[in-house]
Amino acid sequence: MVSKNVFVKAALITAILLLISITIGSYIEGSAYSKFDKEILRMNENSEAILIMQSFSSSNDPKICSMISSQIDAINSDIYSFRSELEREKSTSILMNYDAIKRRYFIANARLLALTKQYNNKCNGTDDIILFFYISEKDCPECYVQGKALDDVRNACKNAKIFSFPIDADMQIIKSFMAYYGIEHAPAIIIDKENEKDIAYRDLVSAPAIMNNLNCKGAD
Amino acid sequence: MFALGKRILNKKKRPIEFAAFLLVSIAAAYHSFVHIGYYWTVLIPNLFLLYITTVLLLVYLEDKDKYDYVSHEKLLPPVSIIIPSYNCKKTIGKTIQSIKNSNYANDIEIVVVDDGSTDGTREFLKNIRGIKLITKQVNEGKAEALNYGIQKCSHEHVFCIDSDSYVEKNSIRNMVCKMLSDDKYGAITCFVKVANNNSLLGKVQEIEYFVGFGFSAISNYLIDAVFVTPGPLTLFKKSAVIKVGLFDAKNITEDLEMAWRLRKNEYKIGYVYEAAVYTIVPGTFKDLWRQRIRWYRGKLSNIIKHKDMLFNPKYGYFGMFVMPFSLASEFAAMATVYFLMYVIGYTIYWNILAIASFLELNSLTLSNLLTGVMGSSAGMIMFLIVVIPWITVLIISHKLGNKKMGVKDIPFISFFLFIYSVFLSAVYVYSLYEEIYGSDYSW
Repeated sequence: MVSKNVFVKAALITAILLLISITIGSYIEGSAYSKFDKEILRMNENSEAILIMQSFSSSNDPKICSMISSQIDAINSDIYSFRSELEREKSTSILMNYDAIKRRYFIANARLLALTKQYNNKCNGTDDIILFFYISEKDCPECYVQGKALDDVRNACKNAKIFSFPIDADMQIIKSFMAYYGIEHAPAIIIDKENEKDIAYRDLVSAPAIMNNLNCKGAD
Repeated sequence: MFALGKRILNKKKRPIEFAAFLLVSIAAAYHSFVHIGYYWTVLIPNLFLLYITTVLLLVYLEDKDKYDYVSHEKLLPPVSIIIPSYNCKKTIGKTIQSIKNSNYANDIEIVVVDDGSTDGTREFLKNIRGIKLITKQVNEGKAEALNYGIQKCSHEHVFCIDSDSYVEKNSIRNMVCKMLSDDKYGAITCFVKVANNNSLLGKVQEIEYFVGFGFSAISNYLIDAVFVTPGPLTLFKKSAVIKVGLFDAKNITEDLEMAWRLRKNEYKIGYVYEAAVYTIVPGTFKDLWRQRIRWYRGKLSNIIKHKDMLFNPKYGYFGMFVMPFSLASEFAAMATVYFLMYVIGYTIYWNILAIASFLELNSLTLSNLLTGVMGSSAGMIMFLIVVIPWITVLIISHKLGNKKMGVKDIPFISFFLFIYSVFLSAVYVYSLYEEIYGSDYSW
């Protein structure tokens, strides 16, 4: 007859196997996490570089403006793809908490928004600044639909710079933006017209309707 | 797989209970996916299954030396072999020939009970010498045919064999020797193998049979908890079968039910892996689906019928371990199926409605499942938990089945582990639905 120890041993083996699996899993997730960490660090360094370049010249220096423009384009592109990868990794991650990375991502996004606005001011830039406010913690089909329309805008207009922020993230900078632009619900879109009145969409809006209010410069 | 006449048993419908079960189970799964996480919802039942598999592995590895190999008795008794037949003209000749080819050192009485065949089987059987043919005019089902044969046969040791199953030369001798080794045996089971293993489905079922009738059967035998007296071939003591009231003709898995009833009546059930029978398995997913719905519904209805055995220490590891394990596998199957439905639902939501965007919020779609989860830590943990114990089980099972595992088997093993198991999970869940709803039994 089988000994009762078998049941205890099986429990131990199961626990050990789970532990080994989790250790390997932690290593895999840790590698992915550190990749995102480094990427955020790199984006922040590049933003710092833009800030330093902007302080080099107080006037509209074409050489510096051109450098800043290409750097803003590069970071904006990085931030855009970073976002998709981060969400995908987050949805399949079971061991790591990506909240800290996400918060740093939104700070980086907000910093780039400020730098883009400064660039437009100083360099007479023509980048279209679009802010997109959405809900992240609950299902928001309208937000997905609006996000899809913004994908189309981005693909059609090289100079459209989209900055997206979840209104349900407990972050001071996002709350400040919401207060500044008068945002209470999501989805909402603001086209920040530096020297004119901002355009606000508080209901779903199509890509062509958004593009009608942009200085769209064609695809990448 | 006995060629079955179409039999229908009407059951009382329970639409309200079914709707309640469906709602509660879906709500529980959704709640679990959202609040505990889809991954842990699937992982936890699988961890339980891992534990059970590990117990059986340890039982086998620690106690395999206690397996009492068949000692060949000099004085073997005459035996009867009952073959219930129904429209099986193409296969029954080979079944009878395989019995005649056995190296059994005493008389073998072959009793064929033709259960109202309409395809000329009866005429075919009349031309075969050396069999006792009993013909029934009306088709009443396999269990009734077996009962009829058991009462009409001459000997105490009675084999029941399906009309599309073929015995190995030594199987009858080895099983009788095992029966003679202990008076408490009411039945002796054997290693059921797949005869038609020449297609993908055949090969996958061959792997499944190696595990079920090899590794699982011997491990269950070592803890005295043999689960079933398989239809393809089992040796019974006639007196035991009559004492427990013969086969239940209204039961869709009469072989399973007989095993449980024998156990209730304090008979032991033995297992001999040195005795093999080859059986024809379903060749299409449609036939397989029908067969497994019948098996799983039969198991569920028998758990209800014999619920007094569940968690009852009187029935040893059978009541305390094997039955609960079998029931628990239903929950693991439900978690898997609901998880896949959730993923498929999300995929439709994102892709068919074309609302996927750069937001990618909670985007657990099929493509992300394959490219994301499978390559992530979640996938790695699940992979290790499923694959390591299962590879061990498969190696042991193939060894017991005297078949070498090679590189060419990897596609079939992968199919078995990752696709066939999902198919079986779906069958489990569908069977559960049908049983709760009270769909008519059809077999």
